[in-house]
Parts: sequence; structure tokens; C-alpha cells
Amino acid sequence: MDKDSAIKSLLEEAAETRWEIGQEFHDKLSESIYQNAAHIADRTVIKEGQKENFNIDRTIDSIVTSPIWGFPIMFCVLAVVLWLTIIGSNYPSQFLAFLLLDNAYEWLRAFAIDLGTPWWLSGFLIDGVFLSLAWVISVMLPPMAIFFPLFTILEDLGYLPRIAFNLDALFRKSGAHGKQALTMSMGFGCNAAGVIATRIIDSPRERLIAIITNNFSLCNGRWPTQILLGTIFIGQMVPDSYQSLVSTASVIGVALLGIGLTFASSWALSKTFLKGEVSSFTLELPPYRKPRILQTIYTSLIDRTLIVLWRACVFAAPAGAVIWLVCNITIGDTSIANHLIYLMDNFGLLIGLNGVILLAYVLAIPANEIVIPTILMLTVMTAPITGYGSGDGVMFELDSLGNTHEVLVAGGWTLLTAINVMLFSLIHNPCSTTIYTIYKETNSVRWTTLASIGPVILGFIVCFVVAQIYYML
Amino acid sequence: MGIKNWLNTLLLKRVDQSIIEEDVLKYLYKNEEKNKTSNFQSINNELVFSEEQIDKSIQQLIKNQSIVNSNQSLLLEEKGRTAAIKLIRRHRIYEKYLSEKTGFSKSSWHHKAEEMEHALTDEEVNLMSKELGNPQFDPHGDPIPTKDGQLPKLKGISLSKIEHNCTVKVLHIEDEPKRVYKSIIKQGLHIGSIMTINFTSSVYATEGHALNFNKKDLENITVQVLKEEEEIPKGIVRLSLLKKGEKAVITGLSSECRGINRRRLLDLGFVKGSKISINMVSPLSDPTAYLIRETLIALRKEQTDMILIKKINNDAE
Repeated sequence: MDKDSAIKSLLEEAAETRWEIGQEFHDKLSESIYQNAAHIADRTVIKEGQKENFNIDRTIDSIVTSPIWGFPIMFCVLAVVLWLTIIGSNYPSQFLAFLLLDNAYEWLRAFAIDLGTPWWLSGFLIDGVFLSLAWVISVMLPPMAIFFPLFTILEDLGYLPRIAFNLDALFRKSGAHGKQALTMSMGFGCNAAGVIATRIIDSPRERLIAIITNNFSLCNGRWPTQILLGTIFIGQMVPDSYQSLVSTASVIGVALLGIGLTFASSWALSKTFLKGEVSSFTLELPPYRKPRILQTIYTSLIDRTLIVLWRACVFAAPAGAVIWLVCNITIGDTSIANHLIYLMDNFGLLIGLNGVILLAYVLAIPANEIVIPTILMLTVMTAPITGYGSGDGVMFELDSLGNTHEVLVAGGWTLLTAINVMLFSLIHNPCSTTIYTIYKETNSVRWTTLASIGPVILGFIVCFVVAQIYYML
Repeated sequence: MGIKNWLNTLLLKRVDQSIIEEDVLKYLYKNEEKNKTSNFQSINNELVFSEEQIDKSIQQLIKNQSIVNSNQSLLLEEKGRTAAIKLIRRHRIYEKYLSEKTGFSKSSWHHKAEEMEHALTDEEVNLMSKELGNPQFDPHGDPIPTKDGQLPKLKGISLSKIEHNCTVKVLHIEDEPKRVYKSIIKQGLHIGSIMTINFTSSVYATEGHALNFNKKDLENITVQVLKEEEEIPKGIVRLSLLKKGEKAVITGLSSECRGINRRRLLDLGFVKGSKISINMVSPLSDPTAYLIRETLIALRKEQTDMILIKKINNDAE
């Protein structure tokens, strides 16, 4: 009791003093702290070689933020990073696929047959869970293991804040922070990592904007879909000599549309849902440093790559099981998958997609990487075509583009379907890993729901409009 | 009037009677402050509610002895005055809260507070006030009534009454009507800033900026004339006026710089006495990176309007 009353009287005294010292208190406090610190530093800190370092930094700054060189340097850096990621990850990806999909998978199946495991158990575990895990790891791990260290090295170097500095005026117009340029670029690697990266934005409103709009950065899991469809459908429309040019342009066009949507939705969010969130701006431009390469690779692997991969696996394993189950459990004469496809087909066709695609997007919420394998598997299961795939509920991909085209056309695909899948691949809900990460970062069901449902609705609208225009032409 | 009445019947039918009563009390209190008399007609002209609703509220207020009707004019009783002051306290504390803890724009504070003043309880407001450090003024410069109902009078005189050359301090900018308020804040006038008035060149200037006021604007700005013998700070301009190659010392932050923004700037060393100069400008011309206390910090244009500096001679290191 004595203690309580002592605390109470102390609190009262504090409140009274606060009233007496007035509003300027914080300013005076910071002022005197800085004065003290400066005084102590003047007496004790010996400065050596700082002048030279300082001058080198200023020279670099004047180049990387110059009106002439600033932007070209930026785009070159981004292009090199993306090129290294996409091209460089092909080889380890193929190696992992060879290891996990071609060998380990076959070996496991043979092993299961030797053991005499019932077909449903080996189907569930090997065709479902294992295959989906193997797919996600072989497609996801290599690009992330290349992209994230490269990004972290740029960060360590001190160059990234200069990008934010160069681009801030563009983001400011849509109510966002210049640092969103970085989280957006990070999203090209992986949206979940992009969402985590928004921690660098210290203003609450701008951080939420960056989190909710990160999904519009075309991530690593979606690039292959875009490239595949761009090549076999869009490229086909023009004479051979222009094919690669047109298909590349279509993929880049989708990525640019994503950037445009990022700006547009940032602007809309800052004017509506996020109007009342606190907003502030500061951007520190740290001195340049020699990057610590080994340490960077180690920490970026641990902090970013493995965390994201782990989360993806946690979601992909049950997804694989579900995919296998819906294809193999039957109600009446047909599988659950067939029922669902039939149910969604009309709506799908209305927006220029089809039931298979919609079901694939529902089943593949855990990872965008498995959308195309799932679509192919479901198409072969439902369309009048034989000779492809290896059974219901077993995802596959085809080595030949011609064969892929044949399977999809047999599934009723037209140019419109391809265009709309490319659009819907850009504008749909984030993968479950990203949704979970958004929840972890915002700690709010409200913002997580907005970030998840908003893009799907927008995607439906865009596809619907495109389909109607296509039908009119 | 037609649309107004139609809207009233459509939207305000369900308005709580107590809200109308509170608005009537607030109107009477404000008129009393201006030494104007109030009657049914003046209330009906001012408030958006229907005639019946207003009439019903007035009858109710007379019945519970909050107001009296004497000689065709309505007067506040002690009970009504206390209720009005409490309402004003809720309004101003909430405005202060909006300015410090949320990101809503300046021009929307008043409107939001108009709604919340009826919804908040006194306990909530006291808690809010404690959380905000028991503020004495709302963000427009109006004094906030204390917990026990003391409402200090706003000092100073209207800018429109000043007709000689002098230096003044801006105390208060009236937030009603919204159109006039918007035109004033568009000029970039800050509360707490020092303004010089020079009639020979007919120029109002503050912190290195010239201001062009309308006649209506002048009436809604309250200032305090600074006397000769008082120490009038000279040569203070906004950081946005610093040019490349110039050096300056920070003299403080404008009182319009609030909440998290103010604390961030203070934390980064934007305090009185820090030396500052421009290091580089973004290729898109905003933001600008400043060298302060041996670190490089980029700020946007609107922030540099909130930081006050005094330029110093280039030779003096």
C-alpha cells in the first residue's frame, strides 16, 4: 500500500511538472542532448581520413544522382540483377528438377511399389505432398538464392537509398515513400520478401501502402508463366522473325502494367482506406561501404531465402495433398475436381478464362510456381486428349512448347484465354506465404483481407472487360 | 434551402435529440462570446436541423434550466454554459488528437471533430488529453478548456484591425468557414510564426515568404503585436529558401510540425544550433539531401517549410 501511494504521488508530481514545463519540452530536451553529445565528441573523438572518404562519397553521389546518369545507372543495375537471376537460376533449377522430380520421385514410387504400399497412400504422399514440395523447391530456391544476395550486396554498398532518393518524387505523387522503389524491386524476386522488406519504411501509412501493393510486382513464381504464354500464344500471332521480339514485349508489358497498377493503387489507397494513418518522411543516405560479400551471402540466405522457402514449403505440402485428393476422391461418378471445374466454368468463360484455370488458381494459392503444372494436369484430366501426363492429381510440365500449346488448345484455350491468364497471373491474390507474411507484418486482419481480396476482384474486373472487348472485336 | 431541407429529412431524421441540444448550446455560447444576442431565428439560420427539431430542443433546454428565454432572446444559464464548455473541450482535444496522432489532412480536422464531439465521453477525452500531455491549445491556436471547465480567453487581435507597420506573432487561424480556412493555409501561414507587416509596400511576410491575403482571410487570423523592446528574432527564413552552396544554422521547428514528424526531425538532429547545408538535389528536383551533423538526410519540400533557419556567412566556419 505504501509503495502504491508513493508511486501515485510520484505520477501526480510528474503530471504537474509536465503541465508546468509546457509544450516546448521535447524540443529543449533533444537540443540539450545534441549539445552534450557534440561537446563530448569534440573533446574525445579523433577524426582521421574522414575528409577523403567524405569527398569520395560526394563524388559518387554526384554521379549516381545526377540528372543525366542517375536513371540509366539505376535501370542498368536492375536489369543486370534480373538477368542474372532469371538466366543464372536456370541451371541449378534444372539440376534440382533432375534430382528431385526425375530421380528421387521415380525412386520413391518404385520403393513404394516394392513395399506394397496401397495406391492411395503412395498417391497421397508421393504424387501429392512430395511432388508439390519438390516442385516448389526446384523452381523457387535457385532464383531466390541468387536474387537476394545480389540485392543485399547493393544494400550493403549503400546504393539502394540513392535509388529511393532518385525516385521519391514519383512515389510522392501517389502518396507513397521513395523506399517503396526498393520493396517493389524486391517483390520482383518474391512478394513475401518484398513485404518483409517494407520494414525499412518507418512511416506507418506509406509502409501499409507498400505492403498492400507489393503483389503487383511480378514475382519469380509468375515470370515463367508469363514467358511460357507469351511465347506460345502471343508470339504465334506474328511472323517467325518477330516472334521473340513480340513475346518478350508482351512479358515486359505485363511487368510494366504491374508497376503502373502499383502507382495507381498506392494513390487510391492513400486517398481512401489509409487516409487517417500517420504519415511522415525521412530518408537517411548512409556513407558508402565496402560490401562484406561472404557475410552478406550468409545472412541473406538465412534471413531471407530460407525463411521464405520454409514458409512456402509449409504451405505447399498440404496443397499438394489437396490437389491429389480433389482429383482422386469421387462423388457420384466424377472427381471433386471435375465437379468444381463444372461449377466454375460458366463464370470462368464470362471473364475469358475457364473452370480449369480458376480451380488451378484456387488450388495453387500456396505457390504461383505450381499454377501451370496444375492447369496442365487438370486439362489433360478433363479435355479429350490422351498421351500426356501420368495420372489424375499428378502435376507435370512438358519439355516441348508445341506439346504444351496442343494440350492447352485441346482444353479450349484461345488467344483471349492466354491474354487473360497473363493478366490474371499479375492481378490476383498473393500466394499464401505472402498473405501470412502480410498478417505477420501488419498484425491486422483488416489490412490482410484488403491485400488478399482486393487484387482478385480487380483481376476479375480487368479480365471481364478484356473479354468483352475481345468478343466485340 | 430546398435541397438542405430535403437532405435533413432524409439524413437527419434519426439524429439524436441530444446532438441538436448540444449544438444549440455551443451556438449560444459562441454568440455570447461575441456579445451577440441569439433567438430562434438566428439558430435556425445557423444550424442544419429542421425547425421542429430546433424548437423541440430549445423547449427541452428551457425545461431542464440550461437556458432561459428573456425578451425574445435566448440566454445561457450556468448549467448550459458548463455543458457548452465541455463540448468545446471535447472538440478541441479531439482536433489536437487528430493533428498529433493521425494522418488526416489539416482541412478535415474540424469536420471530423464536429462529429466526434457528440460521441466522446468526458472520461475518454480526459484520457486523450493525458495521453497528449494536457495540451493548452488546439492545432488552430484556440485555447482548450481545462478539466474543471475553465476556458481561457484567446488573446490578441484580428489581423484586419492592424493598420500600422509592425511585427506580429500568429496566434490563431479560424477554421470556419472551410473555404476561407483553405485559402489561408494555401498561403502557407503557420501558427506561431512571426509575420512582418509593411503598409508602404503593402506586404505581409513571414519566414522569408510574401503572403497575399483576401480581406476575408484577414478577419480570420488572430495575431499578437510584438513590442519594440521585446526581442524580435530577425533574418529567420524557412529551410526551403536555402540555396545550394549556402550555409545556415537551424533556429527551430515550426509549431505546425507535429506528432511523429516533429519527433523524427528532432531525433535526426534538426534542433536549434545545428549547422545545415544542401548536399545534393534529386534528379526529379524533390527531395533534397541536407548535410547535418555529418550525416546526409533527404527531406521533401513540404517538410523544409517547417524548419526555420538563419543563413550564416560562408567564411565563418
